[in-house]
Amino acid sequence: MLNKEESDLVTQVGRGTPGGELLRRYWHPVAGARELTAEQPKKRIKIMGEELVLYRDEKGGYGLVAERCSHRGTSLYYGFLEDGCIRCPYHGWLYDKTGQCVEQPFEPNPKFREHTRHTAYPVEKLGGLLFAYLGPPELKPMVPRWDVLAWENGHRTVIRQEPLNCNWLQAQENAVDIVHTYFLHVQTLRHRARMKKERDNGGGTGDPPLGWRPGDNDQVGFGRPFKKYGFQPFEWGIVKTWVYGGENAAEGWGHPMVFPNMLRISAQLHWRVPIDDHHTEIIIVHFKLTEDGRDVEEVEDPPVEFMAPQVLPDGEYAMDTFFCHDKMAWETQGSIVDRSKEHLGESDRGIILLRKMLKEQIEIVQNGGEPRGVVRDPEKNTCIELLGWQHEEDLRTGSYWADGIARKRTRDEVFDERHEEVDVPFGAARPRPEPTEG
Amino acid sequence: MLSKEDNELLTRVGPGTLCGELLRRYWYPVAAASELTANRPKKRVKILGEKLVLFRDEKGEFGLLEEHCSHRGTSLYYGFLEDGCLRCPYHGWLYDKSGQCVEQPFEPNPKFKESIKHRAYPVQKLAGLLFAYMGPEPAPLLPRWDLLVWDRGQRRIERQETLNCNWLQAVENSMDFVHTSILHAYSFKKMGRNNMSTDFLGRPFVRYGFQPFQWGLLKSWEYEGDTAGSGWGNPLVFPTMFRQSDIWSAMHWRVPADDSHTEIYVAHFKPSEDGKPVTQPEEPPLEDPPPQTHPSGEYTMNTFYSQDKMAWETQGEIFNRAEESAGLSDRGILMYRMMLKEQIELVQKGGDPMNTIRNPDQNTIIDLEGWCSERDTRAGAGHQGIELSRVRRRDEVFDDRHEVFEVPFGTARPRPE
Repeated sequence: MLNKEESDLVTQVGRGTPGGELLRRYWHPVAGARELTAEQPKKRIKIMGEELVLYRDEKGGYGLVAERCSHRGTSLYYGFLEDGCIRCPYHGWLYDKTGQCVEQPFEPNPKFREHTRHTAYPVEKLGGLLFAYLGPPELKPMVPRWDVLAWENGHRTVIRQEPLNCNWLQAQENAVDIVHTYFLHVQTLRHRARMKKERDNGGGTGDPPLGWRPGDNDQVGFGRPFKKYGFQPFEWGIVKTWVYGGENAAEGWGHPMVFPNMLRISAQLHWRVPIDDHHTEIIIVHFKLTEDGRDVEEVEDPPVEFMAPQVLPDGEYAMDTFFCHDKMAWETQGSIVDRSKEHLGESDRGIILLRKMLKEQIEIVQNGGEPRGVVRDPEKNTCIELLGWQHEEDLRTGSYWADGIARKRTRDEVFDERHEEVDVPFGAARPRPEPTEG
Repeated sequence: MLSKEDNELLTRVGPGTLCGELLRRYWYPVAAASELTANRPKKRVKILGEKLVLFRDEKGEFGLLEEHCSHRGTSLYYGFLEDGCLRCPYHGWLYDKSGQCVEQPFEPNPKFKESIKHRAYPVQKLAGLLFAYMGPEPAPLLPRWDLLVWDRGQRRIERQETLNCNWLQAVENSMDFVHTSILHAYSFKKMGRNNMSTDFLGRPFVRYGFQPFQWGLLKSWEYEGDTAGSGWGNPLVFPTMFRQSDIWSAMHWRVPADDSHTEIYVAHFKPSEDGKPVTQPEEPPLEDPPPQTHPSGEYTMNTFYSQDKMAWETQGEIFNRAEESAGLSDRGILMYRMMLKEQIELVQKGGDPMNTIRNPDQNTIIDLEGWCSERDTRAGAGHQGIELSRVRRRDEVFDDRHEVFEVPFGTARPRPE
C-alpha cells in the first residue's frame, strides 16, 4: 500500500518529477531503426511526457528535437530536413541536432538566433533500435550493450506492441509478480479451451483457441503445480526463482526484472518506456541464434513487427495472447492504479522490493549520486550478459537449455542471504499430492 | 511573449469574458441561407461558446435561439416550427424569434410565460450568408463589405473545415506576413510543385511592413528578381477578418465556435471580363472543400489551408504564448494584440469599439479593395478583369505609423550575384 505522495513519487515521469529525473538517467528505445526511411524520415515520439520529433538526415545521422518550434510553437514534424538540420515549416527557423538555432530567415540580428536553444536530445543506434537520452548532458552514460543487442551469432527482430493505456509502473511491477502467470495466463487459456470444447458440444476437442499450444496441460510451463517462488536482487535488478512439482518438476531462476523498466524473458528483452503518466510504449527485441551458431556476416537493422491490436472491435480484450492478458490486467487497474486501496500479500514481495529499489534510487539521484545500472566503463560494456542469470534445471535430467550461448551461473553465484523464498499453499495452484502408501 | 493572464484575456470568448464581450459587438456569418431548406429548416450552430439553433420559418424568416429550452434544458433543435415560433419537443413551450415564451401548454398562470425570455439573437442575410449579432442592443448595422455587395462578377461562398484551435492563432497569422514565403511558397517548392504561390510569394523577398488603417491593419511588401514588384493590402479587418487581394479577391471570417474551435467562412469574387453585372443567385450554394487531412490524421499539406491548418493547430488548442520567442518579423502580431487590448478596454469603458457602423449612409458599400494596391499579374496574380474601385495613392495609405522591415540575405532573399 502506498499513500498518494509515495505513489506520485514512483509513478510520475514528467520533467522535474523525482521519478522522471531518475528515468532520465537511462537510455530508452524510441523506435526501431527501420521505422525511419528515406520516404518517411521523421516520426513523432512522445516520451516521459515530452513531445518530440525523431528524424534521420541525408547522411544517416539521427536527431531528436522538441516537436514545437521555439518561435511560435508550430510542429517541426512537418518541417524540412536540410543538411542534417530541421527547418520549421512556418517561418523557416533552422535547428541543428544539438538544438542550436542556425538560421532565422527574417531576423536581422544574429544574436537572437545564437540565443535560441531548442530542446534536443542525443540518439544512438544499437542492435537495430534507436535509443534516446533525456537526462543532464554532462551525465550522459553509455548505451548498455545488453547481450541480445550485442550478439552477432543470430538474428534480431524488433517487436512493437500497441501502446499500453496505463502508467508504466503497472507493467513493470508485473515483471516481479511471478505468481500471476498461473492464473492470468495458464488458467485463462485453459478456461478458453474448455469453453471452446463445450461450444463444440463435446464432439472432440475442436480447434485449439489462439495462443493455446498443443500439448499444453497442467504439467508444463507456468501450468505445473507451483511449490515455491522467490526473489533475489542481482547486479541489474531482481531475479525470480521457482520450484515446480508434478511430472515435469523443475527448479530455476531467471526472467529478471532489469532496472528500471526492462524485463528479460529467455532471449527477449522488453522495455516499458513511459509515453506520459498514463501511457506506455512497449518495445521488444527478440534474438534467434543462427542454426549453426556462427556469426552473421553482415548485421543489418532488424525488421520491425507491429503486433495486431489486442482489443476486439467491440472494445473487449481478445484474451487470446499473453500480451493481451497482461494488457487487460494492467489497464483495468486504472490509468494510474490507486495503490492506497490495494491489499498486498506474501506473493507481492517482489513488488515491494521493486518499489523499495525505485525509492532508493530516486533518493540517490536527488542527493546527487548515480543510480544503479548506469554503464560508464567501456570494458564492461562489450556485452552485458543477462542470459547466464537465467536457468531452469530439469529435476530429472539436469540439462541446461542455453548451453553454448552463455555461461550458466552456479547456484551460489546467484543466491545470497537476500534471497526471499515463499511456499505456495496447497490449493488451486498446488494440488495436494495423493497420499502414498506405506 | 504574453503572460498567462494576457494570453487568457486575448483568447477566451465565452459569455462574460472580456474578449468575448468585445467580440459580441460584431456580426458573424453562422451559415449559408441555402443550408436551411424546407426539408431541413433547422441547424445547430456554436458561436462564442454558445450553443444555438438557427431556423428558417414557413415565411422564410430566420430565428436564432439558445439550443437548450429554458424550461428543462432539452434541445430545441428537435423542436417544431409553428407560425414563425419554435416549440420545445419535451413539454411544448413555444418561443417567438425574440425569445419571448408565448405558450406553456401545462402552466395555468400566464404571468409565468410572460416572464420567460429565452436567449435569442437577430439574424440578417447578405450575399447568401446569414449573419448573427450576439451583443447588447441596439445592434450596429451589418457591414456591407464591398465583396458582399459587388455584382460585376461571380461570387462564391465557402466554409472551410472546422479549425481545431483558438481563433487568435488564425487571426495572428493574418498579420504574419513572412510565413507566406516559407509555409506556402517554400513548402510547395520542396514538394516540387510550381504554382502561383511559388511564383508570387516565393520571389526574393526584400522588405515588408505594417500600417494601421481605418478598418484594421494593412501589410506592405517588396520583392525583387525577374518578377519584382511591390504593393500593399491584404488587410486584417478588425476584429477577426482577413481581406485578400493579391492572387485572389476574398474575404475570410474567422468565427470563434468556442475557445478551441473556429469556423472559417470565405467569400470569393472574380470580376467579369466585360465589366457587366452578373446575376447572383439569391441563395448561392455553400461550397464544402475536401478534408485537409488524410484518413491517417496527417495534414495533406497540398493546399494553402492545409498548410495553415497544420501551422495553427499544432501550436496547440490555445497556443501558450508564454513559450514563444517573438522576433522582429512578428511585429504585426504584436500590433494586432495591442489593438485588441485597446478595444477590449474601450468596451469595458462603455465605448463603441472600432468598426462599429451605425450610419446607413456610410454603409452602402464599404470599400476595402481600394486599400489594396497593384496585383503583380506578371508574377502570377490572377487577372483582375475590371477595375472594381479606385486604388488609393501611396500617400493616402501610408503615414508615420508605417513600420518597414528589411529581409536579411539568406533563405528568403538570395544574395544577388
